[in-house]
Amino acid sequence: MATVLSGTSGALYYKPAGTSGTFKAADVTNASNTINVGAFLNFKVDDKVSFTTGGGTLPGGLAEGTPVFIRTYVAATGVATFAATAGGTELALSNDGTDGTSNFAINFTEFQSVANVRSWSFELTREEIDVTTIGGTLGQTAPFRTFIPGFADGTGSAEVYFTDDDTGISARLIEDVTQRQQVGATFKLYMDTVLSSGTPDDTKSRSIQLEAVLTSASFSVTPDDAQTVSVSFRPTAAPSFDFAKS
Amino acid sequence: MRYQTVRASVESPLQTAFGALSPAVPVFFDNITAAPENATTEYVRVSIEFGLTTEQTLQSNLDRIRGSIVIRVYTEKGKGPARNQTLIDTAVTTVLGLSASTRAATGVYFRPGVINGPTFSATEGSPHLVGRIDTGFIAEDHG
Repeated sequence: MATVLSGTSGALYYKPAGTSGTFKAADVTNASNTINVGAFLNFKVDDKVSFTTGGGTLPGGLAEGTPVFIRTYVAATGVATFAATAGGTELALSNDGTDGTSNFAINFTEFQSVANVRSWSFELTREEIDVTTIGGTLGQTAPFRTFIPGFADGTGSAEVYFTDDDTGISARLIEDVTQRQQVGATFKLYMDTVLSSGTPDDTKSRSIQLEAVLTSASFSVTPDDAQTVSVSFRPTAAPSFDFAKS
Repeated sequence: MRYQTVRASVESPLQTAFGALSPAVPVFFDNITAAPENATTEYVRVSIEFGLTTEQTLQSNLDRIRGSIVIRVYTEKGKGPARNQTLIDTAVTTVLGLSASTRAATGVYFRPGVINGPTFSATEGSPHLVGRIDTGFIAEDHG
């Protein structure tokens, strides 16, 4: 079989902005089963979240590596309650936990497929720093300037179809542009997606993962074309590449 | 996606509009051969073709139905275009009426594009003057 070109099997997966926070034992009120995970984050009901201990002991009822679901979250106060299953009953917290060397952390657990993405693009660039020296001995050829690479930067965009389905994460991706606290926004840009039981097999798939800030959303409506929204983003740290298929 | 529902959303109003004229003018749709080639009476032919009916995303396909409508009006040749244009008016008014439909939570939302025509033609062997309009359309089937 000939080598197969990829490109038709790309995908965009996303963890929403404002879905990463920290808290201490003092922020836990086990009597009301609530935790103040931070105000004006962007947790939504039924978001699947995971906790890390920070070296301490999580509040009773929570365990590192055991995801739970947001049951309620009040942005103005940062107070959240949880459920063991999506839409389930309130999870009881039997104690406030014990602080460790660093804070407890709460994070959005799994990347979500943004099904309505028509295309994505991502560009990485490096600054060029001119380190040419002058005063050398002239010869037959013209002296060449010399450069070394400087800071890296990147920009990306995704074109998202706007559909009549508001249950997917596409709308959330678009809305997140105006989310003030964008911590947690993470893209996984698949160039070659190999699925296993409906989810990407990251061992066999090839992707670029990056934490990002969302910088713009461009809307347009015409009677002729399908309605799309172009969302732009920029990495906040070095992206990680996974181009291996094994 | 229901092609038949989309087709019906065009054909039914045209059938009603021409049927309400006095005298009623028969309308023949695709794959109906009731209008003989040597007919000497007035009639209308409506042809609906579908074009691109989906959009592609990275992981799936979304419904987006596009197509075209061609309406041909056959009236008596040698009597000027007035009668033909009167019937064309009925067709245009009906098609534009589809555009006025508001998008509901369910059902088909239909939007015709710009209307091209009418153009007229007559051939030596036919007793008819043929007036023709055509337009593209976009339809959303919300189930």
